[in-house]
Amino acid sequence: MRPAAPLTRSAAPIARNSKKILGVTTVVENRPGGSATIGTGAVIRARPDGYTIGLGSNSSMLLQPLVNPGLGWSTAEDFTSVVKLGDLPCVLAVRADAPWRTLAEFIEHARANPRRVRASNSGLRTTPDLATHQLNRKAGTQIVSVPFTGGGGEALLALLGGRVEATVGFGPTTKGQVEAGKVRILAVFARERYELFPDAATTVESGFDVTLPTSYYVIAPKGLAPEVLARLTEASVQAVTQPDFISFAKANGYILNPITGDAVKAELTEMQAELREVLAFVQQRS
Amino acid sequence: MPAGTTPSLRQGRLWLGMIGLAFTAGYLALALQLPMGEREMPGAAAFPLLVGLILGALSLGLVVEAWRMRGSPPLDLPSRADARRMLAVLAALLFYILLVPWLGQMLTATLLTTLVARLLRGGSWWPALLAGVAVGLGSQWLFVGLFQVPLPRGELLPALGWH
Amino acid sequence: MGALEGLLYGLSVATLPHNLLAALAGALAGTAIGVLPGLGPVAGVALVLPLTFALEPTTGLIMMAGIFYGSMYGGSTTAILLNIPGESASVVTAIDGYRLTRKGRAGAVLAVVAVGSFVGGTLAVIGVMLAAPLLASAALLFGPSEFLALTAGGLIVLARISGGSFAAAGFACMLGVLLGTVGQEMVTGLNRFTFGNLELTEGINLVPVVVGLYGVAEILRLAEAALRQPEPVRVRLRDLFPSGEEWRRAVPSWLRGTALGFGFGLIPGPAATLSSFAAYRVEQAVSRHRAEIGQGAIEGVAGPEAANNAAATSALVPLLSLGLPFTPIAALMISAMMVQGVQPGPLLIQQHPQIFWGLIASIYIGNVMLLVLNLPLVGLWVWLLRIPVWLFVPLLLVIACIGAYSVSNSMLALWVLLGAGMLGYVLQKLEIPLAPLVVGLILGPNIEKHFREGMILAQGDLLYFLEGPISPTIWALAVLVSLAGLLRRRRAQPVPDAL
Repeated sequence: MRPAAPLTRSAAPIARNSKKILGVTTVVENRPGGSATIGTGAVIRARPDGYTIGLGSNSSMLLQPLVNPGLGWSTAEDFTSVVKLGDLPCVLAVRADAPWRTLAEFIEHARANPRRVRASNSGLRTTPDLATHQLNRKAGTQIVSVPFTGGGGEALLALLGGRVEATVGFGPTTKGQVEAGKVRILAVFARERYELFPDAATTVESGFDVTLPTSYYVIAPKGLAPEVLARLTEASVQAVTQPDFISFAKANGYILNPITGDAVKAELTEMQAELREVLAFVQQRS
Repeated sequence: MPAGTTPSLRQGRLWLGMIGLAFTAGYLALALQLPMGEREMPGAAAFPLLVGLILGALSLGLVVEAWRMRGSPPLDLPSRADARRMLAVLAALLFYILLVPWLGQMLTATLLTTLVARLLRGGSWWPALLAGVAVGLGSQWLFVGLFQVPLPRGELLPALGWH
Repeated sequence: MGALEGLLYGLSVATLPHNLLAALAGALAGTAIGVLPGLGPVAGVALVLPLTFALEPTTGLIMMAGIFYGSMYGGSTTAILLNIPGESASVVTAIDGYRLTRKGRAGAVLAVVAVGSFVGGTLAVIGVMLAAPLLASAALLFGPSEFLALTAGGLIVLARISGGSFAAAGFACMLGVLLGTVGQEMVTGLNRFTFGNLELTEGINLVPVVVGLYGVAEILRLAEAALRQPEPVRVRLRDLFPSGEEWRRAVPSWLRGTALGFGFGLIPGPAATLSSFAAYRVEQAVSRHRAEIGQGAIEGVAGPEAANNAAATSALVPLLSLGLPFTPIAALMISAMMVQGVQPGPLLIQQHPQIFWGLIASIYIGNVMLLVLNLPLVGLWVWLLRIPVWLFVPLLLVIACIGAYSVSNSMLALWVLLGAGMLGYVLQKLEIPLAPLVVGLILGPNIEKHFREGMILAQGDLLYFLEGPISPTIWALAVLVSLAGLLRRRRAQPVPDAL
């Protein structure tokens, strides 16, 4: 179990709901490891009978095949995406006693001090790490991304302890420190204001078009029969629009967005193109 | 085994040290193929190389230490019959691992318990079989029924229509 | 709200009938889960998590805490009785605990552990109560350089934890570190030494290794000696309880273990495991009966068990006051709180005093429950030892397999179990100590992680690792302790030790 991915535990409420809806008991099997590619792979390679579905993230579904060829899938064409659950946007936070009030001021400081401004995050090639590089790319800065692997806690600890200048992470982990006045959110990596921090400016309104979130989807193997897919889609949408799931997701900082079918596929394709761009940028840098 | 040919602790340690050296060499060869990275960001090879070098040195240490050992006691090795029993239990574990994907946890546990119990107890098969069925059903009830642990279901029972 | 007032308030919350019931249910389920190898504290808490959505926050958290402490306690039961540590914190408990069991003192050891856990937990609760606000910032003092000093220094000190020559103990220790490098490495996500096996990318899990090294190896030895098995030690009722001398010897070890564990718990990391190993090391150094440790001395059990319970308690301070999850269990508890609309963090004590003090109080109640529950159970556990060998061996094999498999639902774990079992058997015949291998496997990945994180943070400046007051102090201590150990052993007659 990776502390970094709280939504993996949302499988349990979904399973309970699908029991109500489909009338079958769903067995949740956690397959950790390999950056979640083991679990995702097990679903993608399963018999397309509608009995095996899984929870995948944009990292395991789109990013991993780019950095780890030979997994058995490479694009959104290689599996069925049933429904999107939602996004977890990244946030950029600094210490409350830091001199920067806005993202623009922070970027200006980073431009003037290339490779001297450091932003911690919860791991190399996680969404916050890639979002940091994407910001570097769009803003022409050289912020050093410092990956910690302790599940997000250590990245924030490094900021609180004054070991880095900023941290890029997720809302729920940061919220307590924000409320206590220890850290300040300079930007949310999103287009629209974030319910968790309604007062924080977004990257887009600050003039930087960097919006990479971590997103979760219900996936199934490729080649489901149309009626099976229809039934599965209906049931999944019902499961993720139940009040108890919505309150679970909101409490954990997710922006729910239950789109299905071609809309999901289009989003995935677009997202993978962006991931490919960022990776190319990182590789050319190093 | 006749007493004169029982290997000593010294010989055993010598072998362990030498196996350790060979193993470390293989490990280092693999580690060298990993990216070294740079100073600002050490790569995947850095730590394994260090570990391999230290383990190699310690393996050499084991060899030297054993070489200088005087009056080493003989190894506490089992008699032939005892060793056969120990190896049979090891083989039972191996068969469990090979069979469990096909037979599933419940049947394999039944089979393993029956065989090992009969082997250690001798005599009639019935008590062993009884123990086997009890352990098979009991473990299924406790872990799958009560704790909802997803254990291997196997291919056989589902193919026969049992879920 | 002052501390004492808070705790009294908390006790009034925790002793509400439904909360008491939750603590009892949690402690019971936790003990059962802990006794079964593989189903460790994390699996136990994860199983209950969905249940807590339906309960009110305090009750749900009380139940999770009960499961956590219960499983920690249950894990040491199997270590003492069967030489199968249920989780990594009880590896050291197995060393002296199992030897005492073979001397017929199983009941006494279990009682010492139950009372010791209670003492450790109680004192730690008092410590948390008195100093929680002050201690909250202790975690902030630790960055990559301090963590590297702690883990690498810890490796140096703990490598000789169960005796053996320098080369023998070091060999086992580095073998453990080496096994820890298998799998997807944490920083760049590269797959190392996996030979294209996807399941190996997850790394070699600690549980099948520990169950294999100790449990399967023990099963093989039992099978080997089956026909010559000495009659199971007759345990008289009087032997279920520690003798006056055993109580007297346990008390100083409990106190030392508690102090040590309390300190470790404040630092993020594998606090419970590290503190039990460290407490064992301390007993070796300062106990009046240090010569007996490793041969079956009550101190070798009392110290570590008090330590890991104290650490598990004080670990709540960084969890609750910083709101940062440093362990999988902490992450689960934080998630449960957030679902209930409670935000862990510096404001928790002010905004939700009933949660903070209720949890602290419930831990105390949970400790009382465990004591009440487990002292009578001692007789039952000891009775288990009388199962005949022919049934005992296959039963243990099946439990070991289920335990190994269920940690990550992977077939690979079963192969690791088999390999570790054979390795444990061979190493023991060659009188190579096993505990350092476990130490290496636990600390190795942490050492690499902190080293590489530090290098990135300091942009390649090695001197960074010696900055500040904390790192150099830890390094100096580690070197001093291991030098002192070497000198003392040089003077004493070296005793080869198989565990």
